[in-house]
Amino acid sequence: MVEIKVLRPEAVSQGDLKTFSQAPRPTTLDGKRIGLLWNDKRGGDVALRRLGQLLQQRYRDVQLVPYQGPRGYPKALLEKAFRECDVFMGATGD
Amino acid sequence: MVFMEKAGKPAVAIVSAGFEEDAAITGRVLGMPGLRFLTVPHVLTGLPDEQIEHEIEGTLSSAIEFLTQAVAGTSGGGHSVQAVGQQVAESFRGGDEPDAWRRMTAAFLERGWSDGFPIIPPTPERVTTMLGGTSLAPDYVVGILPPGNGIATVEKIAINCVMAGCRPAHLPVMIAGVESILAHAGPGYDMSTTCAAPLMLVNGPIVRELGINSGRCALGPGAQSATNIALGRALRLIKMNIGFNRPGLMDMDTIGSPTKFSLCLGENEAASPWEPFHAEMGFDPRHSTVTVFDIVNQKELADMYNTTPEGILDTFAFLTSVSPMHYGYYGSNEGGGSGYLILVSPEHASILARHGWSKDSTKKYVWQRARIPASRHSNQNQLRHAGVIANHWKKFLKQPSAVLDKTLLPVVETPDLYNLVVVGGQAGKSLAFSSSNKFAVIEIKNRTGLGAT
Repeated sequence: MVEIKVLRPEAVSQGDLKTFSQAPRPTTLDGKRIGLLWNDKRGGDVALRRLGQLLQQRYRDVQLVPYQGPRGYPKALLEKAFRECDVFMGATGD
Repeated sequence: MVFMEKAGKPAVAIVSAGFEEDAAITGRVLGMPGLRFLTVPHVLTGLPDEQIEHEIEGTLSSAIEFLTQAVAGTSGGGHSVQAVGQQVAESFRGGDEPDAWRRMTAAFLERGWSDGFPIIPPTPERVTTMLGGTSLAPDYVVGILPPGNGIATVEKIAINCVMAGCRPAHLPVMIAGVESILAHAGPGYDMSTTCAAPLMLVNGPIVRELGINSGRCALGPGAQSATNIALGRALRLIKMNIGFNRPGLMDMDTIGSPTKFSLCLGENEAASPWEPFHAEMGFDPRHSTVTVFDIVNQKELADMYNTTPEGILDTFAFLTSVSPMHYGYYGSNEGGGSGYLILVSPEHASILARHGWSKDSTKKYVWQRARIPASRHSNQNQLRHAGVIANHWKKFLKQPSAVLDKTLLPVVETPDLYNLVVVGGQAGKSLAFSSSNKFAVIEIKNRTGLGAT
């Protein structure tokens, strides 16, 4: 029997060292501003718009706020959206 | 979505079937394991609107649940820190050495640690020898490599170098290669459905010292390119094992490309009539550098008939009269855009230089001549969307198609988006790659001289 000892090539991900908890959830979407984040890939906007409409039918006074940005949303866009909305839905088209 | 959750507001992403694992690992490497998302049965990009609307309707109840109900035990914000284990050697046993090696190779492949070719076992002894190629400490952190945010220690880079067949003297080159990626790569780097690959260009005296092929068939197989192959392969393994950039997980490339296995070359500075690339970028030509370009596509620029710069460059312009990338042209408010990396054959370069053409005049001529109707850019999803287009191109958004048909635009925004590097043997055959406009030239440092030959 022959034995080969080897070292692990896979790195530790920073994400495994420092984990974040989920944000607190509202009990209802009534009166919420929902940010729709779309990265410009075909179809993502259609899906977000339709899902937003369905939520508007289900809850009172829901406002939909669309945001469109290039891939890897610029931080300034994300910060603006964060200030302006209560919850978010995102789509990339894939 | 992770940004919003971390900052304290609920968010949910729509993910297409086949991309679930990619989404899950993305959540994990960003520090949010267990991130929930809405799954639709098909990729949306090719579907008619009616079908998209129908498919998204099936996710409504999940959307409500994910936005209004916390996962047990995860609400409340904050973070926790977990310990990291020590580097421990793993054993593979077999009836004889080839059998043990075969078992190790199969296990590495199964875990996603291998490119599919046979690998050199990264034994502790080989890794220690490899580490002798740099004066940096094994635990020195070169950076956090996206998209998987792997902690790129010198030791991890060295382990992957061993697997690829590198020598100790190659390690400082690879460290510079990782630094070159880190200098421009943002979150989500190279996760695209595009067949992008890193092309590693090496400049300076180290090209000759390490035997990096810059001449005939520099990007090809065989003994003369053995160093190129090992270096390019090591970068791929580093992307897979440190960047977690693995096919089907954080590399969602639609078809793939053989360029992803290994893509490294030196500039043929001895045969170039111009200043080398790194000198053009402000480095002392006596120093050695690495530049990693993100490339897609490949087009041979064959012209063995013309003997004037205009003739040759009209061929260059004709053969590159396409937008370099599908999102490349219009730029963005973040300064995006893409260009061309042209590997100019020594024969073409010498004809240009003999007639007094510099790199700058060459770039400007090709930029001026490689033009296509604005309607073609628009058809390819460029010049279409106000949210991503740079301000100076927005005037094209509302033009009628007849005007766009008659408006000729360059295929890249500015002449400096052409990068010229002299490579190859003697023949009138240059080679163009589409490339990202983002790259960084990094000086190779901390060499010990060990294992150069």
